[in-house]
Amino acid sequence: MTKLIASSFVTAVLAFLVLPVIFIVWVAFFDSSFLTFPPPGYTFHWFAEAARNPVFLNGFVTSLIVVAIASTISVFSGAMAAIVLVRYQFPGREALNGLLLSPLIIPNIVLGIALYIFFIAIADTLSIDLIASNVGLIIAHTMLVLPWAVRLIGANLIGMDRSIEEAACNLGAKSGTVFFRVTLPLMRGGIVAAALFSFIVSFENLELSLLIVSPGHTTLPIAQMQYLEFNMDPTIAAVSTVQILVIAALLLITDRFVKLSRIV
Amino acid sequence: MASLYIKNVTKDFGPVRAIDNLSLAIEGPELIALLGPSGCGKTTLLRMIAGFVEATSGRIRIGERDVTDVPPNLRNTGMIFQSYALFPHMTVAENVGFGLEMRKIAKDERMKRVREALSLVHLNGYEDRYPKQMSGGQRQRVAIARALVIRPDVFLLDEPLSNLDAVLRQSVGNEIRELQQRLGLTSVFVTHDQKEALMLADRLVVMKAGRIIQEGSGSDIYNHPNCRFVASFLGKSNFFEGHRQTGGSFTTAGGLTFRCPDSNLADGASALLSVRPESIRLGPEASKLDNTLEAKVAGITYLGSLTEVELGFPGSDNITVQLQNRPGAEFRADIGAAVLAGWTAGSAHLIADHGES
Repeated sequence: MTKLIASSFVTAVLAFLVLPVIFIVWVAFFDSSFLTFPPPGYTFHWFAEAARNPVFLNGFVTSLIVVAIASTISVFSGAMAAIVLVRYQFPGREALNGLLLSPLIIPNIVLGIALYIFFIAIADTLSIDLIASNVGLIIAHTMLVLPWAVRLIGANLIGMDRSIEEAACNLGAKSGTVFFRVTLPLMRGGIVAAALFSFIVSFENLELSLLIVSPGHTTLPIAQMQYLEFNMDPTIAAVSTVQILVIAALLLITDRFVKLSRIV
Repeated sequence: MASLYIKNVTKDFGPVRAIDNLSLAIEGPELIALLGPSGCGKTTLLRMIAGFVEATSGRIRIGERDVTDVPPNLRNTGMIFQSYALFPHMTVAENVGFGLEMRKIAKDERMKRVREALSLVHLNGYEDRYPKQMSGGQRQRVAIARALVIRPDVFLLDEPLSNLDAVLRQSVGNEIRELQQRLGLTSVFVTHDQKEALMLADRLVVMKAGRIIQEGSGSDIYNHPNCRFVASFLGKSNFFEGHRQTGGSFTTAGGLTFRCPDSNLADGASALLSVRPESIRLGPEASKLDNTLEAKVAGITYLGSLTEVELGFPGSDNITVQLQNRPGAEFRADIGAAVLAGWTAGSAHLIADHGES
């Protein structure tokens, strides 16, 4: 009896999570310019429509550029920060740890406003306009995903058996060799998880980007939101389906190299 | 087979003294077991020999070389870890070849020596496996091959058997001992398990609170412990507190008098008489022995090859007796039954009493 209740609860939760996704993909193929049930037929028309729309196309490209650069920077610096935080004791360690996690705690929209004001101040004093290019977005997204990288790589380091590195040292390896031949390969799980989370968190972010994009430098989620203000046709579902596919493909590819069930 | 000299070494971790002015010499192919309870400094000492812990003061010498200030990667020691510490992302051959690669040995020669090392531990044919595809015993043997292939000056083992089950512990232990003797390795073995130490080592070094309490062969230490700590750490023992009297006798605080073996303690010195549980006989055969006691049976525990009998008597703590079980000759008695216990003067051992517990 308890087993039955438990399994129906699990099924309900899964349905709650998965049904909207299935529904969006389904709607993307409706042959009707507004939502009607049952659909009069099915078509690929909306995917073609989405691909013809320069706002979506540019948004997709901007998003990919920002995500790629921000994730790379965050994984590199996150790995270095995690090593320092996990392995060394020094004054201010807790403060640094808190600082690196703070973007997770502060609401994205607040971060966005703060960064916007900060960027304007920079533009005024140094005459460098970070908002007119992708640089501002990249800085903001790096900040957004860095806590994930630090946490995930840090968790991986905490679980690492230090005697493996000692064994390498005992066998004659210098500290640099120990790092590149032993430590770094052992960090792979954490690094892959960090890259994956950075990618997803950055790729789907709307609130933080909202305040610091400029015309011509719009990310995909913002393009979607702007489209929704005036339109309500399945094009948006088609774009969302592509988004879902990109993330699903990423998860599947990652899983081939590092078992996801083991790292997240 | 280099020699190893540790001279007046001290290690402080902040206010805690982990190693206290310790000296130890190992000359030639000998297997030394550092034995002691956790926190006694045995692992710290081993890690100091390997170079992972810096000495606060004192010198460490391997062969003719003073290695006190030499980093661990240049000490040429071979270390075995409790957790095996194999490189999980490398094959067995890559694991074993790692030390040779660090020594810039050409690939052909490297492969040849890797194969030789693997045959030493009976793992030929496992070259392309990954550690996770092997059992615990096999992994530890790969670790042994990996440590020995570099021809270390000193072979260091940090509780190498404690992650293995009882059967593997025996066989990997035997393998370590056999290799150590065949290759003539100067070896230091850390353990908290007295059985392992007795089984493997030429010489036992019993440690407590960063100092060496006693060193010697297993039977030396077992039969002639120099303090209560050693007597109770290595095996079990019954202790009577009292004083040594003239003419080879001993009186307990409770007023009992026993005949005891010779000792260099002064007459009248306060001392402990240590009697091993297996030295005590019960019943009729006890009556012919030098020392006898009227006691009451307080408990009987059957342990397969042994029966352990707990005896109580007025004026002293309970004492434990171990009797060898032979078919048809198992000890039986009711709890509370009177029984005669006895032992020969020579089977007991007199220890100076410094008031430690």
